[in-house]
Amino acid sequence: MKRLAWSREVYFAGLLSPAVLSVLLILSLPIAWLVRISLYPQDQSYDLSGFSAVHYIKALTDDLYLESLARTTLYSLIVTVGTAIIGFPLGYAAARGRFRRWKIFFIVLPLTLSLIVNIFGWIMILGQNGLLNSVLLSLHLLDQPRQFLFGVGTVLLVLGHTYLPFQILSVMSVVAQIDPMLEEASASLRGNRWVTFRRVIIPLARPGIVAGSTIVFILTISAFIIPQLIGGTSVQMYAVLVFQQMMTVLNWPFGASLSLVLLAVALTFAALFRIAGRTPEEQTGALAK
Amino acid sequence: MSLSRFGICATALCALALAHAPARAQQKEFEGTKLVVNGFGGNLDDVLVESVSKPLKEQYGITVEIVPGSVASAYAKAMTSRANPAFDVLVTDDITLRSAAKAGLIEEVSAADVPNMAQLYSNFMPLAGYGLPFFASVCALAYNTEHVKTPLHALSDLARPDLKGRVGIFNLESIGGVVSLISLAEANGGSIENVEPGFAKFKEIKPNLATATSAPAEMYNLLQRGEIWASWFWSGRVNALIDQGVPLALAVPKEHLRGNLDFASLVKGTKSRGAALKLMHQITSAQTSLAIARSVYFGPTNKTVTLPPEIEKRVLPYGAEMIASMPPVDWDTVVAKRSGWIERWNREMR
Amino acid sequence: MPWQNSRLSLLGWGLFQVAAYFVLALPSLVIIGASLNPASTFSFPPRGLTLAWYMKAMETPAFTDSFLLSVELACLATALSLLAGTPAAYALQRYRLPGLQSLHSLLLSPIVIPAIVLGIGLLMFANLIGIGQGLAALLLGHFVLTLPYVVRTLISSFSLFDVVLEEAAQSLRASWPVVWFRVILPNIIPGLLSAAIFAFVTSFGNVALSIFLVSGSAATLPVQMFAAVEHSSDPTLAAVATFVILITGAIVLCIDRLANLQRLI
Repeated sequence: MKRLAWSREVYFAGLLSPAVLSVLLILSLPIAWLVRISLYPQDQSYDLSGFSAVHYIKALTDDLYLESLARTTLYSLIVTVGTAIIGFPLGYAAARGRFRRWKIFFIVLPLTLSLIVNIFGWIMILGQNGLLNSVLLSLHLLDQPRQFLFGVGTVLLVLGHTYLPFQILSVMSVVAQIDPMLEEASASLRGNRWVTFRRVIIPLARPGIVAGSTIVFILTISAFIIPQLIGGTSVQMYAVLVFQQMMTVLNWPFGASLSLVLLAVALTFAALFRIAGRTPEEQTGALAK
Repeated sequence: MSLSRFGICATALCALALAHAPARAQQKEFEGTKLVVNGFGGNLDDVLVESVSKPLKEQYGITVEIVPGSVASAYAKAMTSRANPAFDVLVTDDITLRSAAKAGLIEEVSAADVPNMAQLYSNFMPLAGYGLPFFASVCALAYNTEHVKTPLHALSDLARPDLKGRVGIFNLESIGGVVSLISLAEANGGSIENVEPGFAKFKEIKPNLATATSAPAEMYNLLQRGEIWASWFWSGRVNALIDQGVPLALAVPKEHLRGNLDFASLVKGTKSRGAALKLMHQITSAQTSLAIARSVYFGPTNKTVTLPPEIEKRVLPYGAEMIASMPPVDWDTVVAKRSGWIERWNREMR
Repeated sequence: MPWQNSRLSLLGWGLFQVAAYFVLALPSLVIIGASLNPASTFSFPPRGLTLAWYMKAMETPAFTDSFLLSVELACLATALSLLAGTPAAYALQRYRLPGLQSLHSLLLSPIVIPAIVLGIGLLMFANLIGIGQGLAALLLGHFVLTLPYVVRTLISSFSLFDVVLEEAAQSLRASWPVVWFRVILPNIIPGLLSAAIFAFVTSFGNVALSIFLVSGSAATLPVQMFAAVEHSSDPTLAAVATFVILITGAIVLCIDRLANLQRLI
């Protein structure tokens, strides 16, 4: 019994090691560099020396950055919840329904567009000379073109659109593993459709929703290209500020401390999501196929 | 094609290649050397390939590798590869040039190293041999003549009520945006030290803004589609739009034109110094200047260049007179103050 | 589906899906349309139909070379992260140890670290181990970037997969390769499929990180597109994007077909 236990540990360590070791190896220098750079007192990218937490103090007390962090977190939660609500039924239908190959193609479609091309596409759709305005004008729902681009709503829409596929695919992969017999069993026990959904499907698909939400949240909170290009002046998401410090102002120490703050927030939420998704796991392990 | 046909073609090609081989037998000075330089992308890179890479290959046997990306990412790459430089020649703009020089990334060259240096406009070389300018560009007013009936004369005209929601400008992440701040400040009683009047003007323009972007590609697209009708944009790009048939007009603002330069700098520690100097000589030549002006309408930095009449009026800046009349920008102060300006912008313009 | 038995709800459901997929496809449709426009401006609907831009794209070595590189890189990165990520996800899901949460966070961190920061850091690392910019550095970067998706997706896959089946196999004295290849893997095919798609598409479309790791001779397609758009803005870009859409679609369908085949075995 003892020998079996020991070899089980080795087994798990062996399974984990390629991934963990390679990530540690590859990321250790970048993260160490990031941490070290964030502790320099200077405001530039060269001639750096000394230790100071001055940039962290600024990152955590300056209202511009705190407000941006709060706002970005809120936006990310909105996008995450939105994509979860829309993505779950779509993922379910993609796993169970017909035309699966086509659905997968359409789901992956937004992911294939390079960011800048994606932006150009949205400009063509939402701009004052764009598709949406032409349609609304011809239907007489508007009498002159309205600016749909450049605002918080647009940024959230485009971010949601870009990251929705991740949620759908995540749900789809999990639902595909749920034995259809369970749903039929529930139906045969006179459970109506909503009860089946609520009591059987959602709990079983929960890990998928959680995984998808984690990915969407992390991607949204660190997005900077889309908000920069489609947000106009009013939307200042956190990663855009990081970009400004690292690439434009070349204040690497401050940029690094902002990055680490962002990393901490994102990982905290990832952990919260994991805890939220964990409770029914024990049971579902026994019920699923 | 069938196998035998393929075979014949292959043999013919081989014979052709062998026939040419003796002609190339003579050794070129830098045969086999590879140079890495950062580029811009698109048409400008095509010009560099034609005017720089090809002649260098033919004359000296140098292979030039142009790495796509932004000036900022190239700077970051150069900063992190000092022991084994990622670039042999670094292309920089006004701001990164100064940062690179301060960081000890680049080396000064002399007219003895790069003979064409003597042909460059002297007020285009603020850091002497640290960076050799190979094109100049300006931002000017651009407006759509189909929709904007009264011409624009000044940057502050962008605040005109008839332009509501149809104005696009650069934000302070773009070097063009920085220039607009300085122009507005200096024209309204301020200076580079006191940019208050500049920000006041921005606030006036704000209600008209569709967007304040940092990406020229976006501004280009918006102007092209008529989404924005008035802008502060690189004159070369506006000319490219005009060539495509977009009804735009360029106007020199009352607040004066201020030039931006792009430089070629020798990277410290490069393993192919001799070849790199040849590249710098070629990139600052009259031939390259002319090709750039023809292709993307940027201003030549080589004094000996005479532009043909059909593009003379369209290229800005051009001519000793115009260049002498452009107020200089104290880029060192810009580098020091920019982060404060950007924060101010973030607070005020949201 | 068992719970859809009223005609109206079926119709509503169908409409919702059609609408959703239409919106998902909209930017792509617009870009495909723009790529066919004869004038050299980006506009939709196109004023005519032409394949000239596709011809131009295929004659641009910057696009064709980088396209091949991107495909190669995406395949390699996907393969590597599936190989490393699947066992890791399994261990993270099955094993209960306090320290595991931090390992999980470690494996997720690459997507949170802003791409610029990760790019600069990875470049330093690449210079340190002597590989510099180029394909090797890109592979390292893309591997580390695709791994989180694989791990996260497969953790949820494993949580649905009944431990009882594995234990049954083990009690029948099956060795671990048998347990893996005959019991575990066949049952998580949908998860593997999802993970492979995520990884491939993420790697293929990545811009922000790749900008730092490309060299002149090894540049990825999105980086070339990003650079090209700075000084030229004709619909060639749309043609390239359309091409990417078609190829990615084809590859994803291949992966799906592979997954289905395995299921039948």
